[in-house]
Amino acid sequence: MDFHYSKQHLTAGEARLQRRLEILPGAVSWISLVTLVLLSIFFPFTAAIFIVAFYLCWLLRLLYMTIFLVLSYMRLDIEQKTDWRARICGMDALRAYIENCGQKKFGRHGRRWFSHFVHRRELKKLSASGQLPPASKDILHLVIFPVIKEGADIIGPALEAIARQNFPTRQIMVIFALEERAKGPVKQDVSAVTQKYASHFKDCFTVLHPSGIPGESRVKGANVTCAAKAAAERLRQDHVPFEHVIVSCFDADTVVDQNYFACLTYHFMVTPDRQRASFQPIPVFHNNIWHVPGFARVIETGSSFCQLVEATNPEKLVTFSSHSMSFQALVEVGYWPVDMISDDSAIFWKCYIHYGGRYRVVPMYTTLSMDVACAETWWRTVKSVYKQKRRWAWGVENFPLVVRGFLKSKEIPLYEKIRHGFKLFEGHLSWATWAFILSIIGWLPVIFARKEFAASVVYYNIPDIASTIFNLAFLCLAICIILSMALLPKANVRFSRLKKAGLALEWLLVPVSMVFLSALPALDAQTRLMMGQYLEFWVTDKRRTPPAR
Amino acid sequence: MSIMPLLRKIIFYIFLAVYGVVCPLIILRMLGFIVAPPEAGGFVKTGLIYVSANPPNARVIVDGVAAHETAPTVIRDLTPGDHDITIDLRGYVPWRKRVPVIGNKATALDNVLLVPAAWKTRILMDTDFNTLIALAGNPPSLIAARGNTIDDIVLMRLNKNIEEEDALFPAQSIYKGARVTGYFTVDKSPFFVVHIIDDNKDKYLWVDPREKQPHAEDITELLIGEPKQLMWEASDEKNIFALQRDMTVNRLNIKSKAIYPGIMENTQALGVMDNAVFGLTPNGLLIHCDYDGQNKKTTIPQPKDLIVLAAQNPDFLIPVMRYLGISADARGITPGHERALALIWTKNRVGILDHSPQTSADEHPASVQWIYSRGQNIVQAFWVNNDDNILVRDDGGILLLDKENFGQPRLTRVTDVEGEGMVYYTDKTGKLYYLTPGTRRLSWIQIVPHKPFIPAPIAESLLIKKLEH
Repeated sequence: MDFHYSKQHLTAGEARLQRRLEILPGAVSWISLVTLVLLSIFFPFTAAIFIVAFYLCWLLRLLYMTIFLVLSYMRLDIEQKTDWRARICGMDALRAYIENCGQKKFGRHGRRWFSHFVHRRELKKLSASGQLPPASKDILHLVIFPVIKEGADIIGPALEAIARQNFPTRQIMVIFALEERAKGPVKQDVSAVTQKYASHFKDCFTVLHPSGIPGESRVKGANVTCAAKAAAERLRQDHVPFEHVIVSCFDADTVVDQNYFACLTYHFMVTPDRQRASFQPIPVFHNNIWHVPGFARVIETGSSFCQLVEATNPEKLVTFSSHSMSFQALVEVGYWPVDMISDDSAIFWKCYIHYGGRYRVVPMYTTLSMDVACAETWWRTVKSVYKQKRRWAWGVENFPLVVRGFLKSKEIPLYEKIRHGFKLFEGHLSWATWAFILSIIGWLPVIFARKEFAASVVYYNIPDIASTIFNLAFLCLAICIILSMALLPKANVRFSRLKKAGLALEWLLVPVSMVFLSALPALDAQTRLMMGQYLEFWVTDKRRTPPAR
Repeated sequence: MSIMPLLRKIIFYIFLAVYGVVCPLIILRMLGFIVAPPEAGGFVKTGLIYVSANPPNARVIVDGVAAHETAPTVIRDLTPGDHDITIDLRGYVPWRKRVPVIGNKATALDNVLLVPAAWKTRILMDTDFNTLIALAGNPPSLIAARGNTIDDIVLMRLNKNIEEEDALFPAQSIYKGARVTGYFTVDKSPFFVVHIIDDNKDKYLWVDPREKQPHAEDITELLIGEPKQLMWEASDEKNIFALQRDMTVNRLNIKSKAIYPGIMENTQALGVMDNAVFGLTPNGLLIHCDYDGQNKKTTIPQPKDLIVLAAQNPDFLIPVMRYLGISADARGITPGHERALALIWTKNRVGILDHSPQTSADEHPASVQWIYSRGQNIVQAFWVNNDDNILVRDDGGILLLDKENFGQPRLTRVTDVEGEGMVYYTDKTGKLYYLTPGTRRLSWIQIVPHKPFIPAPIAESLLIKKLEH
């Protein structure tokens, strides 16, 4: 479907609708919070009933998410030992391979059996679809790193990780999308790293993105689009079919797992209708995890957990941060939006609307590691994390565009429109409000209690019920703590029990950090969108040395 | 469909069903509904009783059955009607009451003061005193006098754990041997003025006892003749207001030694509050002005301010009672912590004066609930135990009352006291200071035990402040 996924160049009617839809998320969040505060003060009984119903809903949702967090983590753990290369090679002779797979025995190796079981199901689906994959040797990976202020200390390890892939690196093409406005030392670092690694890959070069191109904003999407267009030109010259190319758009600090490209190639090959799919790995934030303050560590581990949970729900999965996709799809939809901050999720919605709902995100149980936001000092790190979360929450800018796209599209089934639209809206609403309700507003009926309410059984029962619910929620927190320990990079776990206890105790910061470094930036982002004060792209501070106190 | 999405759907619908069933049940539980046996009425709307005691950790027995937790605790699922409650702690007299419970309502037995099986009297100073005057401050202090000269005055600082004795005037004081004829004090103020006769001359000394060596300032020259009354704001170290015999009010700046005469005239009683001076005219009108005598008005202040004025100066009592619509021959009044309630006493009765908004909406701005009516000669009364109990000095004895008594008053005689001497109680130490009868020794009794820290849910800790108001 021909839909212009942008808030620019709209007709008067479209602009009016766009503006109203921009107001909606922030308005609903504020109305929800203010209404609850007023209810707590003036109608405490009604507020108490709502709050208890909400607490229970939150607890069940937390339990539900914890179940799938554990399952997803187990799957990640199982797939870490998968030989993706062997699977790729096998799929090059698909029919024989499928027969061979059916004869494999695993005895008591339940983990290997499960992985193989899923693999066989995927092969059957592929075989049934009749959409056979290209030969693995014909698949080309295009990796784009946008750079504006990252030096050799950041991009060097990122490239080193790609050079050490358990996959032929001659099938990888690396492009540095360098902003023209980047400072001299950054350009020199990019040049040095490009030269150092050029021989490792099929190609490695830099594309300079000029500043001030009409219609573009100062956003990452404009930079990587410029690089992707240059790559397309080169691929055309080399006669490489786009349908054999997988593009990975990575943040400059992304350090991929050594099996990443093998895993990605496998998923690309095994996915029917692979030109209509994005491939989402599990992002972890381990590059500088030991050098950042505890609150930042907890917040980012929480982000990884969210992605792990989302991975279990591919029907509603949306691309996030560093991910990969079909290059042909990217070219067909007109590349990333050049005027949006949230290019990572926007590209999914753009594709979803363009292909009339026949586009999906395939979860990959492999990790790529990024930096936790970290600045020179503790306080600047707080501000940096806040701004990063606000930028993430700015993903709400997709809501008006998606709704407009849905309204225009006749191909996307109504059920899918409602399901996706509701999830997008509810996700942002709960992000901005739930932590406030749980941490602050839930207590207001008791705090503002007047004589009548203070002399009721409800006044006494609310804290009792709340504490029971929070105690049960603590079980989920305990599971998160255990998983966070398990997810840590193994090479670095050489700490005393005291240190490990300290890492576990950091999770007690969750209620505070959820309010101030998650809900508040989300509400901030929604409020700005509501007021028409659009954000500009802000590059997160990243350091791999501890901040000064 | 893949395994994981299918599993998600199954678990989602299970959780949805759980929510649909559990949520209404929890809400009904929160509202106090329980399922009782059919003979008890089936689906019953229950009430609860909140019990906290001082000292804590007392056993709570409801209708003969001990609660699982010691006080503070909440006893839930009580059917509407009266329930026998006993609060029992070793070494203390068991507290027993028949307490009404209403469906969906909470009955608070908050901060119940347990009375020891035997009160322990401790002698603070083994000397006979004839005067005892209380001063506010942090810590509060007592002025105790053995005789009539200035050398006989002892200042006793009432620290939380220990009392410290200090001489009010040093041994080499220029006022040594002067005869003391009277004191001027102000409610909640650490300062006082002492009237002495030194070399046959009247002198007035303003005393700040907060430092280790109390500071005394001779303000005689600022006074024009003998004042009828001296008044100042509790924490004001600079301005004193003197009501002269000719019914004029002068402001005295004791720092700059300046007199501002006649800021108010035709005044028979004086009060100072919130940077305003209040005067009572002979025909019962209440007027007020600023410190310079400007902006004179006859507006009636809020009831809480009237009560503070009446607590400052008993001369205000009669007109203030009239303004509040209370027909009582009050002898004294003292505001509670939140000022919405005040303790009021007459010769024979002690009551709680309530001027909260609910009461003010009525015809009269305040109402009184009399809780003790069998007094002989009530002289003093104090809020005790965070305003949950009352100490009454009636005739020659001290009585302890509960503020909330559910129609079953508990009256405990604490001790006998010296007939004429005053007594003093402060919640800061929980101690009652008094002169023993006959021997007139300065003694004390621990009325309220120190409160240990008890972690309590927010509702319970907030309740302490809220329920009474």
